[in-house]
Amino acid sequence: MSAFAGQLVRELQLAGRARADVLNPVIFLLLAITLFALALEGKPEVLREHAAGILWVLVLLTNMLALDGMFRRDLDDGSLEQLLLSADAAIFALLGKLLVQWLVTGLLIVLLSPLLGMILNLPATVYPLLALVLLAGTPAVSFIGAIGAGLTAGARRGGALLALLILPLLVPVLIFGVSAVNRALEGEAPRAELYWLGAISLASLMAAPFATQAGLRITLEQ
Amino acid sequence: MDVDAFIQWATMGQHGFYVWLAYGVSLVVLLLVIVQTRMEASSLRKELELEMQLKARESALVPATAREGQQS
Amino acid sequence: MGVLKRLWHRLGSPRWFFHMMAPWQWWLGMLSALLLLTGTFWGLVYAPADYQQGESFRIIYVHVPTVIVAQSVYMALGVAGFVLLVWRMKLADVALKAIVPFGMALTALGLFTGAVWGRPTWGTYWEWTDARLISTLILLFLYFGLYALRESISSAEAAGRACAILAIVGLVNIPVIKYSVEWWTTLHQGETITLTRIRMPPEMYIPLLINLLGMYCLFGYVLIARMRSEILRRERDTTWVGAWLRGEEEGAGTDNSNGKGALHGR
Repeated sequence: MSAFAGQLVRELQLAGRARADVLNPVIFLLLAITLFALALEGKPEVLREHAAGILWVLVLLTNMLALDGMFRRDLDDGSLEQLLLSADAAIFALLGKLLVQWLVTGLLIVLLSPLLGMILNLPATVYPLLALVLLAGTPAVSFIGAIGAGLTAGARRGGALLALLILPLLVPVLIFGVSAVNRALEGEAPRAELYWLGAISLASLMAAPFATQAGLRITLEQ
Repeated sequence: MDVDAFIQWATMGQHGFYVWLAYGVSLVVLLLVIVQTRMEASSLRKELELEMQLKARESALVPATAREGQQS
Repeated sequence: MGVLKRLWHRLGSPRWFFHMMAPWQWWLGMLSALLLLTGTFWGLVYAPADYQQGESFRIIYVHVPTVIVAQSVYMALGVAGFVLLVWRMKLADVALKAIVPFGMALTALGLFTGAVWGRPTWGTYWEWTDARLISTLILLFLYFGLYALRESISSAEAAGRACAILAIVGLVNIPVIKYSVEWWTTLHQGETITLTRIRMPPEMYIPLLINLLGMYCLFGYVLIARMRSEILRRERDTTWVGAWLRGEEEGAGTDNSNGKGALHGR
């Protein structure tokens, strides 16, 4: 357990120091949403109609950016081997790493969601539900994405490969997420979609550390 | 041979385009798979036989002692 | 039990597989051709048209076997991946590499024939809200991913194991494809065929079963043929391959290297 806490603290410290790496993906998200608003000529009805889809696709792409270098720095400076060598603590340490990955991407997106909603011309009444939907779905994106990051850490141009491998697996999250936001916009609570998103997030939380570890072991052997 | 019945069948009662498209493409794809598999096998075999012949010729030309010297 | 154990040990030897499966390759190839021709001819000519769908219903005889086997191929990949990771069996990696293109082709073909069937039957080639369509599309992308992943890792052994992980992770998609028809209803109707109950009349389902069996035999043929090619590639420098090329190994017969006969029944 202390391996978990220790890794958690260490990763948070690293994130705090490498603020640019942490903020870049989120700034990309804001920029990209702004681009859509511009491209759709700011027409309020059009924006609201497509907001769910635009938002979720951009959330997925933002995560692809954020996940890309997730293990690369550790691979280069040798700390990845250290992490994996510590036999049973390795899983917990990885868990800590995965959690921090979500904290600095997914959670940030959740906190920013009112601003995103504003840009996409969503009514303020929807903001809490929007945040909830993102809260339920973004962990799945980070955790499943981490599996891909583990497999592609050693590959050059790994970013595009990461997206190719992971985006198909994230399609259910996309579908449920969009459906949830659209139902919220219609005034209903998206209960079923939230359950599904939460279930996928929990399942991936349990499976990801093991799959990521397996992928990282292979990466280290190359 | 009832030509009308045959035409009825061949055009699949107005759905002919779809039915024959589906079957036609399936046939082409499956044939491609089979042909590619067999061609891959035979060209691999030819390549290996060539390799073997080259190696045989090499070891025939070069005397044993010189070969040992090369390997170190 | 002892037979299985011996088989398991034998499967550790690519050489054993190469020689042992040669006749299987030939027989499965012949059988698949026979079954597919029979089933197709039966389905196109003798089977009755559907009451509601008319003649376009006949597409079922290519579409359904294709998608069923495409999913089976992926499940086989998952199993191969598992065997590779847990037991480090070389043949598992050979299978994993050899069968990906075939699975890709079948899945794409399944999507195509489904689209062609959909147009006259339900009025549309494609429906983004149909869960089975989308999860089969995801299956296709998973195959692309497997291919891309193998190409991107230079160490052959590491590439195999990375693909094994991806194959296993992607297995979650298979139950989604199967059960999405029960969970959500858009285009695909509920199951008309389960293992225990068949809601189609025999004149319709027998050619379907024949083609399904034929497609499985084709899967077997392609799998064995491509695995044997891959084995040759990996073991090219060994003495047994040399002996086989010279026609000395068991089951070799005369050395005829006309393209038609190469590796086909030797």
